[in-house]
Amino acid sequence: MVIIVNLDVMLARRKMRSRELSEKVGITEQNISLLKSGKVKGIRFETLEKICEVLDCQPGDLLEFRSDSS
Amino acid sequence: MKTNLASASDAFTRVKSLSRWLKHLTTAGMITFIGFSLSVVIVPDWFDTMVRLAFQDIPAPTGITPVKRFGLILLFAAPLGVALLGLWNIRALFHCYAGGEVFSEKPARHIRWAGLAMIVNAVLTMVTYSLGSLVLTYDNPAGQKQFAVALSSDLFFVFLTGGLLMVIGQVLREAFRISAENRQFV
Repeated sequence: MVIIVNLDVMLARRKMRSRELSEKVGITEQNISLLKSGKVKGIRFETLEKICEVLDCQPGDLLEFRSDSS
Repeated sequence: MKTNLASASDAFTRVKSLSRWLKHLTTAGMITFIGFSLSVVIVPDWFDTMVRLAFQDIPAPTGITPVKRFGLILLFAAPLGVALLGLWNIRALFHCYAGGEVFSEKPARHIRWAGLAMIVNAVLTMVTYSLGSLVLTYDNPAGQKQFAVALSSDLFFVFLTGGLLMVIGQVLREAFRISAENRQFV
């Protein structure tokens, strides 16, 4: 099973760049990039809350579960 | 009042400067250790004196012949080599700390190796003493050959301390692994 991160989709919808998001959320642009590509072990609730606040979205808009069979 | 960050920075600076000093001390110790060991081996009188002091309870009426001297040198080489390995790892550990590399796998590995060297050295010291007594008395008259076994509280504490270092090194390695895993959380 895989968790897909749709942060790049939300950034495009809100017409925001990664740099601006990183400044508003308070994490490095490198970490935003790693998050977008799904190359992180996990995300803290605090970070998820801030991203949702900045992008005006729900956690479900950012994270998607996809099972191996689909 | 200093902030927590400033206090941590001060402590870190102290660790680095203390480690630098200890690294130089360990280097001097290693050079002295090697120099002393070599000189004792090269000068037969010094070697014989050292053997008599180490085995003062073991009678050797036939004296320390060249064959015995050679056998004892080979025996002593093992614990000396292991002790040097331990010292090298201790020096390398201080080198890491002096360079600011504190919370990584390398220092943890050096601590484990230093602990292992201490444990092996304690065991080898006991074995060397026993085998040394055999070498020293193999040509004694019948009934006067000896096989000695020496146990001391010093060796016990060296053994325990080595075990402690190994455990601490393992804990630090695990701490580094957890820290590395936490860094992968954004």
